[in-house]
Amino acid sequence: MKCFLSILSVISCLSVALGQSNFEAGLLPSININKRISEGWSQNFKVESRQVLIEGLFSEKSEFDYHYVLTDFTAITSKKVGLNNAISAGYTLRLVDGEIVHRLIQQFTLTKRYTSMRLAHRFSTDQTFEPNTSMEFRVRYRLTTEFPLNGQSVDPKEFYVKINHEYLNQFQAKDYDLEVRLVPLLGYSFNDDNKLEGGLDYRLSSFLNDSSSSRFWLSINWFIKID
Amino acid sequence: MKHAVFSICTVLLLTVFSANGQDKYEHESRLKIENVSEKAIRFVEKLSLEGKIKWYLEKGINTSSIEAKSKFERRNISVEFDTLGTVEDIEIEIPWKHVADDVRQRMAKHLEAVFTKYDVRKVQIQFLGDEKTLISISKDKFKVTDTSHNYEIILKGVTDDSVELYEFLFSGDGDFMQKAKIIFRNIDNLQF
Repeated sequence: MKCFLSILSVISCLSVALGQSNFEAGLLPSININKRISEGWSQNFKVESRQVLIEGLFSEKSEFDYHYVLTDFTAITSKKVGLNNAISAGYTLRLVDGEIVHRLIQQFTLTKRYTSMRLAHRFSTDQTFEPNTSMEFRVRYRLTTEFPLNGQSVDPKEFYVKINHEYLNQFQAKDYDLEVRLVPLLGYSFNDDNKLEGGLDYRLSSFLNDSSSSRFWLSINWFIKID
Repeated sequence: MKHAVFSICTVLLLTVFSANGQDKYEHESRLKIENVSEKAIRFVEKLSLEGKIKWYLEKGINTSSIEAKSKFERRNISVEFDTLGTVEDIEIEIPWKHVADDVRQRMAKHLEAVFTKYDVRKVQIQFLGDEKTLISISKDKFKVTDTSHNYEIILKGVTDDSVELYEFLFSGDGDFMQKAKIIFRNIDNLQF
């Protein structure tokens, strides 16, 4: 938490440079359960909650203001289509402001294993259906790298570093926006089926327009695999 | 706040179902040179390796070994010892096409019978013998002669209903000895 507050302090120092840009900072805990269904098939369930701790303009002083934002319930089915590739399709149910938002997800992942690191490319599209709003279509690409802090592979009871870098193209009616995400995480492997990751999830959007929007989340992810 | 409590409770409840899985893979960790036996260090010094030597401790379900990894003529080389520092084997990476034609053809014939398609990813010559023999092989720049050796091959094997990575062990003459499917570590945290 100290680290997170330090990051917020740095952000405050940058306020002059960032001018009228707005920001949000908060918590983004998630739990991710994976279950093998049969040879080559697996099922993923994810619950993720979003809570804001502080928000405002970089150029103005902001007060601590906790409020719950939303919870996502996601189910994704994956099929292994090669040694390192998988295609997936899924659905997200989002509970936000007393409304239900639906999202359909399609993705393709390609994982590469190197001597001391793993690299994953994720290409995905999704369609979001929200009441009284045009359908939002997103095209995403995420590059993930993971490397152990000890030895050549992430073994049980060892720490590792994982970095996500993602580009999201968002299309809605005639509007277009690009969001860029950078997520450096420190992970710990309790065993191969149980991993905990925590770190910063930084999201920058609307920078194609005049005022950018920055979101800083303290991301805490628990990955559980059930055989 | 009510929603936040609900979220936290959901996370806690689901955590109860976390699999209390057992370690299924070899556990490999870096070893500081201070923790490596003198006997193993002295042996590796005699091999005249080029690069920095990295030491690892490998723990299996019932076994433990110490491994030194380095380079020899730009090729990856690893020397395996038991926990007392007695050398067990030396493995050096070579290109698939550098395996003698007749030996390679014999191995390929076996692989063609097992798989509809295969792709060789890594080939290592595994030299066996006592300290004296292995030092003599190193002085001969790890050339394949009539010394005792095997071939360890990592390959992608395709059958009608699966694509997997395998480790094969063939004798120096190209006769099949062992086959094992390589179990990958969980990559769910990279996919989702």
